[in-house]
Amino acid sequence: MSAVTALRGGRIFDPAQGRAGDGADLFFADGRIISAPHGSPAARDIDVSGKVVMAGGIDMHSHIAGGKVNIARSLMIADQRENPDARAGGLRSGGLRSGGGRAGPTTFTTGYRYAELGYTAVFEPAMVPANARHAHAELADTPMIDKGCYVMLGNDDCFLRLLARGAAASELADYVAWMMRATQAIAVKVVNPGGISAFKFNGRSLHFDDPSPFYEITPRRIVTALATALRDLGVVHPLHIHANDLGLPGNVETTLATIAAADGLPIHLTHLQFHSYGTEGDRRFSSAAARIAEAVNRSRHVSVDIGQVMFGQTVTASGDTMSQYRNRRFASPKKWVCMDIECDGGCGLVPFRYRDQNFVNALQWAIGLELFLLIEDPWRVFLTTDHPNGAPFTTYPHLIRLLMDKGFRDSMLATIHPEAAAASTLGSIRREYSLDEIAIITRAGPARILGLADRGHLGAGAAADITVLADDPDREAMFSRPALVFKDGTQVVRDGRVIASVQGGTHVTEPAYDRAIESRIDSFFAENLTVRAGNFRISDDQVAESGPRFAHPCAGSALA
Amino acid sequence: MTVTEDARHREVVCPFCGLGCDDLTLSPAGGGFAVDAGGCPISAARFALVVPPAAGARVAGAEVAPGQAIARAAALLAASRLPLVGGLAADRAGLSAALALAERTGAVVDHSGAAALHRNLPAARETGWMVTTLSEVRNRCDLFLALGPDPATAFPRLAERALPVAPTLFSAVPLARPRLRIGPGAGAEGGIECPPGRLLEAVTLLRAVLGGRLPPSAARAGWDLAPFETLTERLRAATYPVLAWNAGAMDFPGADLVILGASEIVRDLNEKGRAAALPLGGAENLVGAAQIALWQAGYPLRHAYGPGGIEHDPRRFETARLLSSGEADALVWIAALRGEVTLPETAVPTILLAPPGLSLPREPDVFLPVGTPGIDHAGLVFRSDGVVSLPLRRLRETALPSVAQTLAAVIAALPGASS
Repeated sequence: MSAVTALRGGRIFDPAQGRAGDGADLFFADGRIISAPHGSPAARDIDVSGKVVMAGGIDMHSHIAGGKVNIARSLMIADQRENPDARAGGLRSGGLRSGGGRAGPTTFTTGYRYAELGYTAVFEPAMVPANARHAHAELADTPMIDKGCYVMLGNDDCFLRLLARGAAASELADYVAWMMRATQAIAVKVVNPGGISAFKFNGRSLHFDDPSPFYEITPRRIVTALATALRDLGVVHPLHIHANDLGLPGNVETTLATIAAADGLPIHLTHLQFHSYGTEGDRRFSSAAARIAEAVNRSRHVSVDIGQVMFGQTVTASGDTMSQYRNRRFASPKKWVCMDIECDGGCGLVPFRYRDQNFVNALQWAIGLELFLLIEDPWRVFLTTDHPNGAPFTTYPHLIRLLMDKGFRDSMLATIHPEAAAASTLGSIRREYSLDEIAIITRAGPARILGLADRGHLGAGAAADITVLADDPDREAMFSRPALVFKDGTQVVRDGRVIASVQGGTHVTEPAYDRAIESRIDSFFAENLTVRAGNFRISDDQVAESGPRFAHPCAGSALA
Repeated sequence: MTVTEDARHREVVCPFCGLGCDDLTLSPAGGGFAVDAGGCPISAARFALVVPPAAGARVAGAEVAPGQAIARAAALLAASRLPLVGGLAADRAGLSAALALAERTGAVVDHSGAAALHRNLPAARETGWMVTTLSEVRNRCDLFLALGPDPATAFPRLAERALPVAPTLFSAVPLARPRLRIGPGAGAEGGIECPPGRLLEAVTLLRAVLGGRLPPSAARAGWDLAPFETLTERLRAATYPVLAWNAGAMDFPGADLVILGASEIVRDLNEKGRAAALPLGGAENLVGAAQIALWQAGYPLRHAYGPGGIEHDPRRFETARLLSSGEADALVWIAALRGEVTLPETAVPTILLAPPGLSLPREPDVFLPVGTPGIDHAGLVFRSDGVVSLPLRRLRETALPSVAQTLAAVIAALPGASS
């Protein structure tokens, strides 16, 4: 064993091990947490007494790489100019690289800024199959953090044709497994089920039980078929669903119908805030957070992330061309991009400025917080802003303070559009998140829902991904500037600044499939598309060339 | 010579024009490769090139050991106040190394084809656009309208790959897909004849007719409106019309506004139906260079690494201007994709990375021979549409290093290199 490092006297918040702030020493060596070593003293003792010690943060839904993120960077030229990230000395000192951006940060800046917030793993949730090679190439240039991607299925013509001709569940599962492996994905996401395809046929809306243009398949069928395939394959992360009708007043009914349609099949509802809208009040836009939270609370097969909105400039980046085309009129600044992609999917980019004096934006902010506070089981809710859609990820410390500090939350509530504040129950909600609960929604929970057995906790054998925080009663200040961050045992951050560049790994899932599907997929590509299947498929070597490739077993759903 | 089946390479990706054909069959022929299937004039010429016997590095025209050439390149860059890393015809790894070298030396970064890219920016970046990709065109496009010169010149297999008369995913009978054009020589094809200098008028007119906002002066401008009215009807009747252009062939004043107008026509059509734009381009991996520059530096080329961070300016950081003004005082030119080596004419110290055996407009101060991605080593390039990137394989054993390896050696030879 090589040199042991000891973190002495910290208060350890490790929910996976049932530790909530007890004082203890933490040891690691060779990049792994170890039990207290016998005999010989640690080679390196670091006094962290009184400080809070957590595993490295895991962001399970953040758009950080791939074609649409690059289009976002291109559109958001002011975001680059106003947020330069000059890393003094560049390659001359410590190997850091310059970059910039806040809503659309460059790859290097993304890695550094996440590390500086104590995060050590981030998952790109919307990888279009045709763009998978690009997404992985970009993530290879994203330092500091582990990565992984959710491949977008359910609007791809190959899958829709299988479904339309009544393919057996086993064939659908084989296709899903082949796609996950070909694109080196850890999970599967469906975006506006059927809606992206419908938009290509000039469909401008597709509700949950509407037959889609051409295929005449309902979103309900797509959701249940994909969720069934993932359950059958034993993929740990449930189907990651960006539901139909995003952003539309009244979409609470779609969201509740999606939960009901799963009928016990594990599902994950992403950026739930954007799917929790009612139609009450003079403005026909209201919070349905209470109804949604109640449904989530009683549905053990459902996990969610919130997609919290924060006020300020950002850019919305989504695979949901139907919604993004509809939202173009809200673009600020007035520019937007929509793209149809490769009989696979699409993407839409709409710059957006959330304003606290805008009734709708203010209520969106309140709805997200209501959901955080009304959903009872912290193991099934994850902290996200759907970066950059609700807000850049750099707002996380502020969000944590909103969750942990009712006085602060109420003071912010008093500053938003007064009618939105009046329309929200937020002021009456007393709950404050504890540090233990923050560790769950930012560490232990995301690791569990993704099947990362050796991440998100501090038990012996776990990766030494560790964040040490000064216990500041101002939780925003506390989480803005970790005292220390270790990635795989290497100290990478001191006092909130990156001091060393490291390269993380890529997490993938390797579901098994009947190889009979391969020749059918080869033919589909050769006859209908403009890339051969053999050139579409990403080799293990490409993913492994920049850092380790972590292949996870199909151990069964995290929510089973 | 007969070629055995085993010696053939199948489903080879062609990295040259930007269309990203990945269905080529190659067989070894006289040191290069013959394209047996999936070929075109561009791929045939570039895959046929052979490595000459004298393929070594050179300093001032004299062959030297590789280490000597690397050391000379590093010395020239170390003495430079503002180097320019240009050309950038390379695969992803080579481009990444070029950006690392640029940051390490405080250089400007530009691509030989960046002018085309920047012609698209008013539409792509200032207003945004609605675009599509080749497989969508292949399966959905039922009216193809090209603007400007015939894109078949730069992309010989465009029609075969994106517009075949064949059944599609959504049509069991071969899809009728008229191909129309507004541009020079288009009249002979049944399109609208238009010299480059009047394309802006034509596009403006088409948009006005489409929007029912016909300017009263239009007839006086010498245009026959009838073809525009017919075209408008056809665009409205199509289910997925595609407007395409090759910005690289639109080197005339106002081309950016022609592109903006075309993009606006597509957006107008989408108010009621569907339509999409297809900006063609990407020769010499221009699209890859722009993508990598965006994700690493935040800007689509023509940026500089300075002590205060990264600056971007499409005019200030343009190759010809930097060299003619004397601002750039050293040039690294990367031309690994076997095109014509358009090494700019300049008196500043020049370091060239290119495959050996190409004819050069002048001898550089330092010549560093490199292999070609997709022939001599593996790699990754982007396709015209910016979505699809393709894996390149190594097809033969040569001693030629890649751009990435070569530039890594240059970086390591710079004074004060930490590793």
